[in-house]
Amino acid sequence: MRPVTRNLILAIETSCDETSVAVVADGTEMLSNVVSSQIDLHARFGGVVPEIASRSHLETLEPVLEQALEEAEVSPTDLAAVAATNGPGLNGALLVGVTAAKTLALAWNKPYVGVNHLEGHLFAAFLERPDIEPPLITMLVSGGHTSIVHVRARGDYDVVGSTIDDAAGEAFDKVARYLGLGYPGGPVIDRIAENFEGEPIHFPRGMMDGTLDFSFSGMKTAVINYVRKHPDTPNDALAAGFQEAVVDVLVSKCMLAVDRFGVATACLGGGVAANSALRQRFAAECDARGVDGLVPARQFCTDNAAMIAAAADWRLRADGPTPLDTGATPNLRLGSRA
Amino acid sequence: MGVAVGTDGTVLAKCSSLTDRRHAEEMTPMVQAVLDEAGRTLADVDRIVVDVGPGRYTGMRVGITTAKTLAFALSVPVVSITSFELLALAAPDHRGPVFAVVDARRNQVFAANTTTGGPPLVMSPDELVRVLPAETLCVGDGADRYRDEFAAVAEVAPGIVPNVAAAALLTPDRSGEPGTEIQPLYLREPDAAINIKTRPGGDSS
Ligand SMILES: [Zn+2]
Repeated sequence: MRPVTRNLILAIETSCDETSVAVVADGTEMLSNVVSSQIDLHARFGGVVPEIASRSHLETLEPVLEQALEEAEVSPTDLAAVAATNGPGLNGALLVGVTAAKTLALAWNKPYVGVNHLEGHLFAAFLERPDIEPPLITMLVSGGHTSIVHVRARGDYDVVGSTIDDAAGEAFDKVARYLGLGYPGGPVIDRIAENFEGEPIHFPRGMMDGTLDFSFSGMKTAVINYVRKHPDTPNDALAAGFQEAVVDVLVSKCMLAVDRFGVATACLGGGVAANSALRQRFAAECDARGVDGLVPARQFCTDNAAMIAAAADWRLRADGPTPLDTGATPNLRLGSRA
Repeated sequence: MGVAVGTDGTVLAKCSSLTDRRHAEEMTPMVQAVLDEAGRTLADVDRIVVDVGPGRYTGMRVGITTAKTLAFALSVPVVSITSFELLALAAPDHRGPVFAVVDARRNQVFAANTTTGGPPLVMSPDELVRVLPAETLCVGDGADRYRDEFAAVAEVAPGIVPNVAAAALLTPDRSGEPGTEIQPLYLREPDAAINIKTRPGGDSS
């Protein structure tokens, strides 16, 4: 058994299509982080089906919970708290994790902590680099979100830029579906682009000059229009070109925010931050500016409970437990707890 | 939704609410409140009985998640019981067959002949009316909702809800299972075609 003097948090994440349970010590040291992905269940629908996600969480949560405790080699009595993502996300999916966490808190006589999923993504950075300190800029890119967050301090966030239409991951999914490449679009396009050696098609960037906001819907339309005009274009040239355009916009905007707020640290987060081209370009641009650019390991970019535990550790210290008579908030905003 | 604590054929405490929305908020505090009222703690619990449906998916999942998680944390078995059985236990005495009828929305009901048993039915109220045996009594929110249709061919006892207190007493003659074995009784496939694009505030990682 591990020493029990540390602050051990068990966290549950079920906001979308991953069932995950993690145990984290002192908000930074990951003892376990079990993730069960439902991607195969949703692939034939080309997107996440909420009712399928909810049913799958209910079935998978217990085995995942058991494995997370086993791998962490902790017993429930050692825990300081039990946490769960309580928004934003799919209502039915969130309720499974929230209900399980509250029930465990009751049964084990521990405090319960409800965690904002987006705040979890922000805290993923601290899992690998406990040394970094705000102020910093974090760009959150996923299937549901694309935003640039000015983290002034832990708990003090300003969303300084966000998408006005599709999220980046959604745009990848839509373009991949249009080109018949499969689901999920991000990883598929990433793989194609990585192996592509020709000249990518150049698409307009949709920079929305001067603002930190994004628009990806026009870029998706540009791909469709291009294919209509040039039906013989190989898919890999289109996919590589689209990815290049998206990455260009994302990194340019992020660097604009870094310059505008004069921060010395920039982080990536969210599922799309697993994209190789985005990771490389982001790291290179940070280097060129002399900014500490943090690209978390892929397991901390995609949805995972370790980042929820990291955020819960801080939230518990900052404002104490969440009452047991709270539920989930599907459209929870960053900075709100419930 | 409801929670009850019972032992040796006696209900020690029970609580229920007619909420259609706040299951997740109310369930955990209700478990605590009922135990407190019974003067017991979770450590005293030897088995858990859970209504596995059919019913509203969200409510079912809150109840079943609570039961499975309690079973995991306390290392105790779970007994599943269906909404049909709980409705039958709440129904008034009746000489003919008793049908438990649960509103399935989208002009369908889940129904079961609780007197003879047999597989549950998923059909429109009109279809059910045609197959009901003579002298049937219908109970449940499906019977309430389509009362006029059913009243033409059967008796309807209105306002009957699953009897959670009775569930607490049913345990002795039923063997429990590990929580992982507990399966919700959805009785209908997820409606993927309708729901595929609804991701309010959703986040596919
Ligand atoms: Zn996410």
